[in-house]
Amino acid sequence: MPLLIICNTVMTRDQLLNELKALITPYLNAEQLPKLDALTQDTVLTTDLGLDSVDLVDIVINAETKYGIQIENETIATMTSVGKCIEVIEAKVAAKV
Amino acid sequence: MMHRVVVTGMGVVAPNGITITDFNTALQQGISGLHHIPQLQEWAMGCQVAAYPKAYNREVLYPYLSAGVLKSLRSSCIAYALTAALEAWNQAGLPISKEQYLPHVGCIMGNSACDVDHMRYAIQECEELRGNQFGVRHIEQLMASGGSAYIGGVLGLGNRVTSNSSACSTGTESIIMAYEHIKLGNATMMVAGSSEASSPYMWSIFDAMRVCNRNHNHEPTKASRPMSIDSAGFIAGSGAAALVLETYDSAISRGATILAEITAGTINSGGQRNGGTMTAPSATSVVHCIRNTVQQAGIQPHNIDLICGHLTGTFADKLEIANWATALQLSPIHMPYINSAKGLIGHCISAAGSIECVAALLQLQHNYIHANANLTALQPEITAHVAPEKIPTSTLTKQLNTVIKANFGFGDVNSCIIFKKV
Repeated sequence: MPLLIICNTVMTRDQLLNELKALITPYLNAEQLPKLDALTQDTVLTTDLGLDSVDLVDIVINAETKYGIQIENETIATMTSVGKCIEVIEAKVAAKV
Repeated sequence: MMHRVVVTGMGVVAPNGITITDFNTALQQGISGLHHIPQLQEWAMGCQVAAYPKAYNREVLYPYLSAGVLKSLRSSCIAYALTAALEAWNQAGLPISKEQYLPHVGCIMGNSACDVDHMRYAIQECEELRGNQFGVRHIEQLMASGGSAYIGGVLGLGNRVTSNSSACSTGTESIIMAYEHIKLGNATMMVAGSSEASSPYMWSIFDAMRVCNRNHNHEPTKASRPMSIDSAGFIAGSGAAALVLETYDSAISRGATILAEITAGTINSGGQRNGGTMTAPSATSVVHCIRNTVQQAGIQPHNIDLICGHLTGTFADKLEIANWATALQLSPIHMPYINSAKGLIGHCISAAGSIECVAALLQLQHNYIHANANLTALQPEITAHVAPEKIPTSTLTKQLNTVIKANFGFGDVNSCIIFKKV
């Protein structure tokens, strides 16, 4: 399991996954929430969770604020799955450190 | 081929009633939607009263919008518009699904300035350097077409989806534009109406024009006094209303309840000539607007049972009454009954026309004429044109068949419509 240093603490991908879940939660209606329990690296945010592309950008902005990073517009378009989101966030945080 | 156009659904978010049922009760019982606004007092505004749907709860939208949209939705203009449209849609007995796409159904949902408070919030976020974290669902709420865009998306509308804007004439204008669109055969059905945001900024700017009543801050429900000898200006308000209009044939074929037929509608402008200005209507164009509507409906003035006026509570009320009398050419005792809902709901600006069209339709449907609230004594210039008993101060039970409604807006623009029982 790769490790990531965020705010001087070491985080696993699982921890990052949980934080991503927390960022996604406000964008899910009650009937969509149970889908979070089955979240994997391969989960596609639009087709699997029912989010739309505007929700995705909002979630990315919230991630930028949370981790103190900046994600380029063209990179946002690639953040379609949970795994890809984590990958981008990891890279940006690592670059910051 | 021209199509007959009927009303099959109504929805409202009025200052004194959030649903059609509550609004109908409020009109009949004289329930006021005017409130003292602490923010206006803090700003030391002269008028500290406004009319707004205080009891509104946007939870009614939860089943129709995604969590992401609800999280960011701040615009009362859009929330009111969608709420009214959904009520009208449901009353018309129409289904909603995420799969439906309706190419023969459109929407015209007008507003005056979308949502000034939301615009102020956006500006502040940018100026305080939070623009990059602002989020992504704000342009859609700052668009003048935000209301129609939200409605079109929830209902899956595929015909004309747009928003009109003509100040205080907006609401009636949108209904007439939708009526014309269906009449010409370009759509089978339209959702039409208007929405005005609750905005102390907007209310203040009207007060700054010295056109709002500053005399009743201590008794807000008495502040809007159309046609009364002691009226001293209008009370700005907010809210929304929507109608479902469709061809007569469509309504009959799907077994819908027909609430009324629209038999005529006129939109015109005085061009800010002949006495008309940015803020005052030209009498000539108002008279033409009314006369053209009556003529188009194929009726005589004495066939009109009720005039639902614009009548805001300013010095212009007596001028409006003179215009009605000139247009209809009836003696004071033969003039139709006249009332104004603004005594109870204030002047809801762009939403005035649509909310007041709903008031007109409710009176037509349920055979009553609501009282002119806060009318203590008529201005003498008004009694010169209309017998006092035709301007009731208590709710009357009357068989109504034909109601005429007009609104007039800044920019010297006018709209007039006739509703008739089927």
